[in-house]
Amino acid sequence: MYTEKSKKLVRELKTSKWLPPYNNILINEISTEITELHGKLLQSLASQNEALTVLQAGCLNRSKRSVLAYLNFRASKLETLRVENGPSIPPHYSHQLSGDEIDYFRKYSALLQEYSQKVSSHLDLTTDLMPPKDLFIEVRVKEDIGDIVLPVSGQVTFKKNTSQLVRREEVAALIRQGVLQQTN
Amino acid sequence: MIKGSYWDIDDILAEEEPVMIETTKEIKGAGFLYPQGTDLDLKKSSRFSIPLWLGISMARRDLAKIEVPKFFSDSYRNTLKADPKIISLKERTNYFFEVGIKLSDSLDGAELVKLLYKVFLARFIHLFNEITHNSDPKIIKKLTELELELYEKGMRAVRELYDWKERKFDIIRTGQSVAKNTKRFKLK
Repeated sequence: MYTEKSKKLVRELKTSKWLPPYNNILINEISTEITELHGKLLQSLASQNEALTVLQAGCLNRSKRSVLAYLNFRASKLETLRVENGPSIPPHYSHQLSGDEIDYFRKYSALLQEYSQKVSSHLDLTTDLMPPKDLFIEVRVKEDIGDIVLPVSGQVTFKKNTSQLVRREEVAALIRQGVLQQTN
Repeated sequence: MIKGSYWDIDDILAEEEPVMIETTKEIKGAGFLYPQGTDLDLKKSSRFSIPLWLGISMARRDLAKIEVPKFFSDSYRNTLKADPKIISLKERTNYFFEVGIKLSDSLDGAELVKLLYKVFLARFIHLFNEITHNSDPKIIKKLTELELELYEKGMRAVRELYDWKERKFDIIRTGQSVAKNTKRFKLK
């Protein structure tokens, strides 16, 4: 059967919690299959075999749809990642992606920033919609990340399993990445 | 992603569900449809299983007839009517309702849709009670893909309602996609 490979490709998306590694080999195989099928389709069109044409065109469009849906699904996951996790790709994610996808992520991120800057220089679309109750929040450090420099507070040291009072908007991204946890 | 759209991968997978068909015409050169795929031509009145999407498109053009799958047979319909709540539809197919709706055009449409509606409603009410009353997580073993999605959304809504009642709405949480994965990464 012609569409077995594209079925396998789409099924892969369901097997992992985030995204499976980009399956370059399978996509190439499918695209050669499509080209082959297209050749046969032209032949059966010439011989006026209607029923066969319908079946072949069906298989061709099916493979095409599967691959496009696969790519689109991955792209939309990347957009979600940008909103949840900020402008960097976590290291354990980057080897699941193809070069083009990393490029897509960067460009999407750049577009988002460009839009934010056009609206106002301090706007960040990815922070919360509700006004916060306090300027400062208490956080618990879950991973050792050492010294980092924050825009307003300056240098701050985060040691594992300690609690600190920090400015809310500065650490929001870190909390979403799972490095810190809000406690109050 | 819109449900049932061109881009919906659940829709694609639902259409991959195998169905049995019987061909009504001989088609020259279409032997590639056979599971083994050794013959060159497709013979008249041969029975074999193909993906649902192809079956539907063949049935529409009178090239083949779709046979009723076991999970929509009369005896199984009676089981469904008896108590839809406790049956594990996942054992039959992960996309029970989607397959049913797609097949309804080629089978006895109205009756099947009515039955599916009843089954879904009964199961949904049961599911809703389970979600809002904090019950057994084992329930997810019996759910189809569609119900599982409803379950996850329901659980999130319950948590958000709780946060709102406790006035915890400004707590920043770790993002979904990150939270699920960090643990596995650490083990490597």
